[in-house]
Amino acid sequence: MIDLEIKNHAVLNLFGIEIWITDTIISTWIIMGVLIAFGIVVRIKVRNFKEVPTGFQNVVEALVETFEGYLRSTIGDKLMFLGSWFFTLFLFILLSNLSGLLPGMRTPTADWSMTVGLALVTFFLIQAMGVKYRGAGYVKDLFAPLPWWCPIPLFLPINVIGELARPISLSFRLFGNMLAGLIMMSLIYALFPVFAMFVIPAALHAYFDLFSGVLQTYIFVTLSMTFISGAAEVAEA
Amino acid sequence: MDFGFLISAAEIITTDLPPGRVFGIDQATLINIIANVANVAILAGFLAYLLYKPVRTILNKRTNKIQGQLIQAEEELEKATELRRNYEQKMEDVEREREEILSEARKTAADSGRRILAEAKKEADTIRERAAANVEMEWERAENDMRTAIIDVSAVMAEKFVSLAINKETHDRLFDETLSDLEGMTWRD
Repeated sequence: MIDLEIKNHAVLNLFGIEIWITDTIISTWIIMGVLIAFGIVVRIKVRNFKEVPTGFQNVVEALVETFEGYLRSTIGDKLMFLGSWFFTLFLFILLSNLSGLLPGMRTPTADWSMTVGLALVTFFLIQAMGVKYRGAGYVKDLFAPLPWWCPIPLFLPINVIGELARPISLSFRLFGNMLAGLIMMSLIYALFPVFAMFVIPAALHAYFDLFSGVLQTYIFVTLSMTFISGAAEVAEA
Repeated sequence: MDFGFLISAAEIITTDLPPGRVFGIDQATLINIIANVANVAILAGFLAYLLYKPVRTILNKRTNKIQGQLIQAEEELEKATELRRNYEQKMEDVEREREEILSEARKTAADSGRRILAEAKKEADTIRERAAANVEMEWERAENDMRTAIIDVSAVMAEKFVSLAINKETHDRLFDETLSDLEGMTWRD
């Protein structure tokens, strides 16, 4: 039986602020641990990387190179300095989505506090890149299609709502999909406990965790990149 | 530094925990959002330092190296092309020079041939003229010889005829008449 609830394992009281150590936090730490361990292995091995890659080096280089190609084609050379953030985002969301396959792990992305946190980072990056590359033009665009000096900013509220809707839609899309998969699997395990133990789980996990997990990772990261590059790009036109 | 204040400020509660939930928007959610973002930000820092940047540096170095080699290869190709162009130019010059020498040689040979022919012709003309003169001389000599021979033969024939046709008396008379004529001519002269 998969537990749908995000359980609290401890409460850290720091300067009077209560921090709940939830399933999500623990799963996040485990995923962080795995990725950091992988990073340490790469960091150690990178000293002995050869001119012609083989084996592990090939895998690591292919991973970074493929991601960089995908990043470059989506956000262009101008925003490549955000590469390490998107690389982390991609690997973290992917492992988070796939972590539901492991027993005892609760998918961190099936917690809205995780997805909205990541979406808020995207939101702040959109605003920051917009202002950085377009300056006042980005703010003026909030009044579009009317000119910014128009006495009645008719479209300002709509545009502001449009901007605010981005992190909400991003976060709920990922959260909703992952939670839906979790609920579906939970229901199947609850309704067909014996049958689900032998035949069904593999195919359903392949769809709800593997396929949906990879797809939602791709969608979240691609949309984040597109929003950010869109905010920065119009200035060039 | 003394971190004692942190230890005293932090308190971990493992009993009397808040109940679990699927979704909620409150202060705890806000704090969890901040905690989650902080976790991912820390992870991003680690991955950038440990994985992404070192591998990217290696890939960039390799790309730059390959690009450098490509540029070097292009430069060397350009140099080789220039050398080939120079070589071909030299070959063309040599060919042109060869053609000029051959042409000059042909012209010289033709001139020499013409001159030799002219000289040979002139010499042949001289020889022919000389031969013609000799032939003329020989012809004249032959004519003279023939004339002399004819005279001799005529004389012999005349002598034979005269000896057969004229008798002693006629002979003496003719002889006398001739002597008389000769004597008369001498007198008149």
